[in-house]
Amino acid sequence: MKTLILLNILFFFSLIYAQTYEVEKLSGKVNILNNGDDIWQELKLNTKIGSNAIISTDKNSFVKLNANGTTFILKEFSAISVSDIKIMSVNDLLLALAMENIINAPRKKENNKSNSTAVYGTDEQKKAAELNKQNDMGIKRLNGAKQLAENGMVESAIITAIEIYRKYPETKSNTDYRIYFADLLFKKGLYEEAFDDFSSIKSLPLNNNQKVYIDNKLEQISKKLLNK
Amino acid sequence: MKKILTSFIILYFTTNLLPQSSLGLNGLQGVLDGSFISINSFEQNPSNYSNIKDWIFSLSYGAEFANTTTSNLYQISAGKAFNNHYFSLRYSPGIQKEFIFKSGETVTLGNSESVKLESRFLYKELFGAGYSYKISKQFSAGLSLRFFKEDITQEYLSTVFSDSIYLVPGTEIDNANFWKGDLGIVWLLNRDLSISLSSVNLFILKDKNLNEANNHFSLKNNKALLIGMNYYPLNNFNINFLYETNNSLQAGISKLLNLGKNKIGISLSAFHDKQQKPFFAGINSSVFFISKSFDISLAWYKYLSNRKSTGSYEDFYSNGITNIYNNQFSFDKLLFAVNFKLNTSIEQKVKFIDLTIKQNIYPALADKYLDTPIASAKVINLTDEKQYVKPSVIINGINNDAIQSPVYSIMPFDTTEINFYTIIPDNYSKLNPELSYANFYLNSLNDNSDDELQKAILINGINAWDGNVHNLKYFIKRDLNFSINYSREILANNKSVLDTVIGALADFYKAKIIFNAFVKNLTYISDPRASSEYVQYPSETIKLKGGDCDDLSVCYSSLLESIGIETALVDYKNNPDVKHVNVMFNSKLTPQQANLITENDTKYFLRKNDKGIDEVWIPVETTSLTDFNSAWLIGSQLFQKEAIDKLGLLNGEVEIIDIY
Repeated sequence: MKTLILLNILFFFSLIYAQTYEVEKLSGKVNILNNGDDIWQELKLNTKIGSNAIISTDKNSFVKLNANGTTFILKEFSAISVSDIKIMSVNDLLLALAMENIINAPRKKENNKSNSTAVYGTDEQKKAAELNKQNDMGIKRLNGAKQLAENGMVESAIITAIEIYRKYPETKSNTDYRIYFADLLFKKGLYEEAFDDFSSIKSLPLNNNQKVYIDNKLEQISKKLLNK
Repeated sequence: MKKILTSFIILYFTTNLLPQSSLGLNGLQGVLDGSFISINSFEQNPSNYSNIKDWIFSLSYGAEFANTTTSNLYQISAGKAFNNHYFSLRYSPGIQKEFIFKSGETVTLGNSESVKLESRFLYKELFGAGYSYKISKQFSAGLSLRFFKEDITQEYLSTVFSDSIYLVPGTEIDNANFWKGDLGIVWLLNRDLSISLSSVNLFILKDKNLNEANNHFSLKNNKALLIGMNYYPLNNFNINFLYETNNSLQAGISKLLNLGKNKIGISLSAFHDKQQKPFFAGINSSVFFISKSFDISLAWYKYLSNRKSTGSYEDFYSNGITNIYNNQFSFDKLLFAVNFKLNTSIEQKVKFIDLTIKQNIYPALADKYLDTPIASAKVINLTDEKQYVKPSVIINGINNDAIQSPVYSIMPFDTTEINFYTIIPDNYSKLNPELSYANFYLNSLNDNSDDELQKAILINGINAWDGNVHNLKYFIKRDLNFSINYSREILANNKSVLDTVIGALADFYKAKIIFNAFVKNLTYISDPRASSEYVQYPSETIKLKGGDCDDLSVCYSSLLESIGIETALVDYKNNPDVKHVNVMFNSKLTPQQANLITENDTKYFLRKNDKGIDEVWIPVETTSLTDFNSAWLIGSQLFQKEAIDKLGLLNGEVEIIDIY
């Protein structure tokens, strides 16, 4: 049934894409990765920003973007892909979630082909471990996603958060953010998805309040699913 | 000549009684597809129908229970099938009946010897021959000829007038020979039902007639029609019915039981003859055994009227007989029959119904044809046993020996679809396409070829491609030796750079170095054949210093795969007019390590490996022949837009095809 719904809505899939924005206001340190750059550059007032850009704010900084009267404020310690500033329908979200499932499916290998010939000694492993040190980009990205939701782009916020969990796996253990975005799924009536997400969060280290909250939420969703 | 035939009584029958036309000599009928359908019984089977594959030899021996029991060899026969033709010959020394009548008056001769005058009437059927032709699977038509002989010997007394009047005994001998011919057809409506239609006494060719005075002793040869029906309402259960328009009929049932590969059975039938009483004059019960090489039956014919008593001359004189072996004077009898079936030709067990070439041959796609069939055929099992079939094919110009496909099993008389697979040898290198042919074979196990079929097939050149991006991997894999040498040479030339790179980044930098070296002398050239169906091997792309997106993607992928870097082709299908393909490779970096190569998280794509662990994959636009960073940027933007933002991976407009 779920597949059938997906197939139906596939025909009506349409996104309202973000337009080209202009920096209207800016305070503190705001950086941009423009058009596939690998190096952050400082963002300046009145700069035109394409949809391929990523914007990042430091603490005590913000930027206000404007596209033909539509504004979006990126608060402090946040990052966002401009292409994520878009209005999606629930159907669009369902499609995007379905694609996430496809992407998340483990690949099947045809045979046991030998892997790279690189040799990883003990020193190499140490070096690699050092390189795994976390930066703040994941949290900044989640903050950006929250602001999408706060600006009414809940569907885009949800799918952005899911992508962030994958690209910045350390963010997946941040229970506050997890609960926030799981609640968004619940509010959108995506009970099965919300149930899965809350169940996953339950396996993380939680404080008592969080435990009670999640148990209540799971019970609430179970009833909703039963009454469906 | 004076005949003294006044009040004779029947004293003795030397009867070799056999059934009338409504009884088979083998004591059984109705086994439609078995061999026991009255083999060489022209009486019951005038159309000479047979489903024998090659030779059959038949023999009937039996005993008749009159006042004294006599036993005889009734007939021996041989049949031979040649394709759709079937011939049979029969010698029937036992198909005869003799009536001996003696006068009730005693004559005392001059020497005081007393004699009774005697008359003998001997009827014989000596030879038979048959021919039939299978017009189709359903229809068979044929004819039979039988040779008859009638001998009449009558003693008489003639008066001699001299000094005294003498009565001198004499013997009058009369005989006749003639051929009887009949035609018939058999119609097999389906596996369970058949209908037959035959003439009875259609034509008589007389070689010699009886004297006019003896004509009424001749066999009655009234013309009639014989209609038969054989029906299997249940498996191994048969109902059969024969009707002659001269008001004779026979109805019977038979039941077969499987005994391993053989069968045993019983049958029971009753027959009616207008000249005999009661209405059902007799019954025939028989048991039989059927095997692949021989059949045996034992039949008991029981007349329901009392046949031990003598018959009357008046009856004989006024009614005569219409049939030598079953008439109002016949006795109970026991018949033993055996058939020997000899198959000197190899029996075809399976057969092609039709065959379809599913795809032309693209030699580059070598082992593809191990998994996807080049042809499929509908094949029928012609036997009543489960058959195992080995399909095989030889493609002229590609294979020297037959390439065998997996063995199939086919249930009795069932039809199934069989696939043919092949192998393209590694050394196949013809550049130009050629129209060739393929010989397809069906072999039932342990036998020679049962059937074969030849079909035309197009063999494309070694660079031909069927347009399916999945199949580009065959071009990638084929030239791997060249790619190994080429990649190693590039890496060796950049050893100093690679030595400074930490292990986690090794694959990424190898891919980057190889791309930069690879594109140095290349230019993008659209397909030289103005078609997307021509793909260069990596060595050709390097040698020709260029290619289109297919060629460049194949080449780059091959170079990376040759040094153990996993790659995938990305097939962009959103524009039906312009298809595009590029490459992504696995950097083996974890998501946490991605920032070592870029701060921009839209430039890479996470894919889970077979253990479910995310790895960083880098999309590369192989037609961007400036440098790696540009190709990466273009590749990642294209992938982000078409595959992610437009949900191309979900709606099928973008497909990632792993090489291994």
